[in-house]
Amino acid sequence: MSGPSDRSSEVTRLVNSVGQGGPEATDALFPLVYDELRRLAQQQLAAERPGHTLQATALVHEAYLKLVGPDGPAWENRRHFFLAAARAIRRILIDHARTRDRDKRGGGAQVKTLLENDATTPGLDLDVFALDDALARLSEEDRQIAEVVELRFFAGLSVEETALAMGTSARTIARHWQFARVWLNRALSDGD
Amino acid sequence: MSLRSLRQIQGVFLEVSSMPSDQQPEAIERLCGSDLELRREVLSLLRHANPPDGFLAEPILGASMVGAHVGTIDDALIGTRVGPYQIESRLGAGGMARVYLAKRADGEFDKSVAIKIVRIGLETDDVIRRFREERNTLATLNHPSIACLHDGGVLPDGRPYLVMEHVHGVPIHQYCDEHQLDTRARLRLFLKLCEPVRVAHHNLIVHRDLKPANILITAEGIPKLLDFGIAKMIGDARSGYTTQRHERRFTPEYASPEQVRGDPLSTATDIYSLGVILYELLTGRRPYKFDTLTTEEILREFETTEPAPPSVIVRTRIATSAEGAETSARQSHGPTTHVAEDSPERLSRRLSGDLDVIVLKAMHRDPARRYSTVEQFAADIERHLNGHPVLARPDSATYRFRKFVGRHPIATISVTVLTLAVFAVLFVVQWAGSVARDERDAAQLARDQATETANLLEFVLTSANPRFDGPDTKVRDVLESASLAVADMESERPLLAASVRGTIGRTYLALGMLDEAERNIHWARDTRRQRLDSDHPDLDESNHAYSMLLYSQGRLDEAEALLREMLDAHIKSHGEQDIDTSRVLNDLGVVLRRQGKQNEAHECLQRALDIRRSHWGENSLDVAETLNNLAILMFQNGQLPEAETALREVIDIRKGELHEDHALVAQSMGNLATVLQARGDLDAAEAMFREVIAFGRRAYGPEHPALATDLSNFGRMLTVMNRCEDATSLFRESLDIRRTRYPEGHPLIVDNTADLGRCLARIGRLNEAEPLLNEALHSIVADPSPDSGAALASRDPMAARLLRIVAAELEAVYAATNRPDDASRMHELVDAIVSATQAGNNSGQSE
Repeated sequence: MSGPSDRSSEVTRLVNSVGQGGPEATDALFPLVYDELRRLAQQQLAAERPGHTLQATALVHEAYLKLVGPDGPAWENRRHFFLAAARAIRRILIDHARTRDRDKRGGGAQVKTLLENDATTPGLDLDVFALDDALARLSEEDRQIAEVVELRFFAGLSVEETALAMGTSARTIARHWQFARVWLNRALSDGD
Repeated sequence: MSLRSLRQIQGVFLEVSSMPSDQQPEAIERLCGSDLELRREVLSLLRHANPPDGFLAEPILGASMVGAHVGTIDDALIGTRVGPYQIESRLGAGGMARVYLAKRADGEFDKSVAIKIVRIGLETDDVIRRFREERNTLATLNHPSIACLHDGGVLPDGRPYLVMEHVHGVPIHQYCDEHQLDTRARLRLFLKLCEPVRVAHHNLIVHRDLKPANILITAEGIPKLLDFGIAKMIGDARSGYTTQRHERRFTPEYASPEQVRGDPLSTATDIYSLGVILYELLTGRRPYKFDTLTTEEILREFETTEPAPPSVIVRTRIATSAEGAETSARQSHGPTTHVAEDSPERLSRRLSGDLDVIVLKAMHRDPARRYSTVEQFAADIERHLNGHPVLARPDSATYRFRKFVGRHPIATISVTVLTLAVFAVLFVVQWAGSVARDERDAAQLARDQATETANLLEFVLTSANPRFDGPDTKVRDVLESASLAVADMESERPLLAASVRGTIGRTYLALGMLDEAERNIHWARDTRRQRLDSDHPDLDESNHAYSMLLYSQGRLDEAEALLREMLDAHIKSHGEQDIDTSRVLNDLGVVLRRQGKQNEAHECLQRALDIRRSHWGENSLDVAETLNNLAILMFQNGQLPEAETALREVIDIRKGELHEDHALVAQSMGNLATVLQARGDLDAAEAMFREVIAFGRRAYGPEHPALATDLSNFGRMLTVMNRCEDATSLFRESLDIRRTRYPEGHPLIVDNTADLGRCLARIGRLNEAEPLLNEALHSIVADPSPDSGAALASRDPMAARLLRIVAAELEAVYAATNRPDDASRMHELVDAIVSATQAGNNSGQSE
């Protein structure tokens, strides 16, 4: 039993200590969070019938509880955890698309499949690689707005939670999110 | 990309896009001016301003994305041999094992079996141990309705496996639907299912994962219980039939609250799951939906919502089908199950009453309130099927209300609830008046009907609702409007008015508003005395209220006399062991204790405790009440370890029965703090006092008598620790509260005044100390002469002790302020009390 609890305290410590630190704080958390997310996802999917899917959001929150616990640090200090989690989900999606790509056509072309079709989840084709690129460009132009997308989309935080995590108002987050959706929609559309 | 900052573009875009489209061109003109690049960006974004629905909706992860290739490795086993068996296909997958269909490869028997094999990579010590446990469990259980064990072994790679009977069947709810069973047939089938569970329990095995998927019904209609994978042998029968804490593997919808919490489990957890299964069989629905909830959310759900009774849930189904005009009632039942009754309305009628009560009792969130055995559960269903009265009873309104109050933070109970409660009482009373033949009948009816409501009202107003306690205007308003409403009936229907005014009076009493309490209680008692027989229960109720009033006013001798009178009457009419007798004994014990008659007090309280324990069991609030009183007595007698033990028991009972934050929990914690202090554990005591006082300020508001008690007790502790400076402010605060609440000369005010005076004297603030000490002195005896001191010592030793302490302190103050005459006057008083006390003690011993 020492494994999980040690890891949990390590993450709590990291989450606490990184505070308002820079991107390196997120980097420090990334491997831990990434491993935990994958482990949790594998565990949960393995226990289910084939074809079952998981909501990334629920997974991230569960990972947070596992790694940090219910009485974790204040929301302001959680930003790096959720950024790390968002990047982990992003990485999982990219890796998957890449594998599939390779399996199907021996690499090269893009595959439009972010969502595995499931009876209960209407599938939506989204170019993972294009999204990844677009997000990288958005981040170069305005890191804060890009982080809002990461936290909202990949980590599944609500507007209010994102606001708390980023130390700004919910109104600002809502504005960023609205704008980012349009900006990314344009970036992912053909032409223009 | 752009030379404009993204924020600038964002600002313009958001402003423009928030406008109606016909105003947009003008706005772009105004905001972008000659900045062509900005204009181009904004226009381009506007063209993409409506992303498709679901754009950037939450990502969904499938198995292949995270490398959980379900089955691929394990399925390599298909076609291979395990012992003498040939694996043919996979039947199912659990968290730790896979189950395969297999046949004997040597063709010796043609019978197929199910082989359960630990999943690859999961063959840890823990899993292997659990596998062995399951094997032992199954070997113990031999019942036609439990899938039996044929064999077991270990694969070459070290993974253990079990060979079990392969059950051909379908899950129980599916079976019921496919065979269109009606309610009666479903109940009969359910009774058959109870049988193997009963056998397991008799073998001290708790299944812990009962759910439809684990209950297959064969073509012959025989239930087969599967998967004892997390079943647990209950340890020693003497250990209270509970299993150890366990890892959490279960199916939330069928798991008992204690299982979700991770508490030790007993057979009660299986009874809960059976209750849920029956609920689903009868209604086609599960009582709770926990699809996406975390453990914390599930527990909150248990705490805050009651499952709808089966008859109600099928009625809501009717409502749903009425809405969807085109769909037939049958279709609207959804894909789960439906019960083959003629119509949903009929089904609802069929379920209401017995079946509602039986199901809800089995799945009560409190294990103690479920059926205590599967047999009892099954027997009640039998009774119902045979048309006999069932034993289950619905929760009483009082029980539900207590649970409600226990569950909800006190502050959430609104004045509306209070008002409703008051008027509910009034309404019942008036209703009774209108239907009864004469007033005495009406009073009796009103009492029967209104007692519960009145109890609730009192309960709300007094203990559950400290935020509105004290002379809070809102409670006053409620009580005053009730008083006005009752005034109308005083002359015409005095007995009805008496029952309402009695309730109002008791409420004022519990709030510490003694004048108002006295007016109402007096009026009710006098009215009843004039009109009722001396042994009428209503009069008894008034007498009880009056005795408590006398006690609160410090009129202890009168209270004692009245209680003794009541005790005699009670024993004569109800007997020694009656539960009502225990109440009188409890109250008398408290009064005697206050009078310093410790031995008599102890006897009364012990008798009350014995009666209550034998009547209610160990864990009732009544037992806690008496135990708390006894603990205070033990404390006063110096039996500190006993007092501590008793108080910890009181706290446990109250926390279990009420809310953690309940006023009564705080009260017993305050007492424990005092005992801890006396035992010398000052740090623990101080921490506990601070907790209790913080609670009091939060919950009672700043002017409640209970807060005063905690403040002054903490002050006394600090005084002993020589932290008089800190103690002074505590005593002042408690004295301020008490002066607004109690009449002049009330024992609590005298005590408090003395405490504050002594504290001030010790820190040298003699000018402030002297008037306080003098006030205390003259409150105890009007004429503080040596003679009256001696007389007091023989009459009331406790009061005399306080008088001596105050006089000694005053002596020191006078001495320090150069008033030798006054000082020697006090000296003589102290001497007189000491001599008289010693004389009294000696004569007491010689008797």
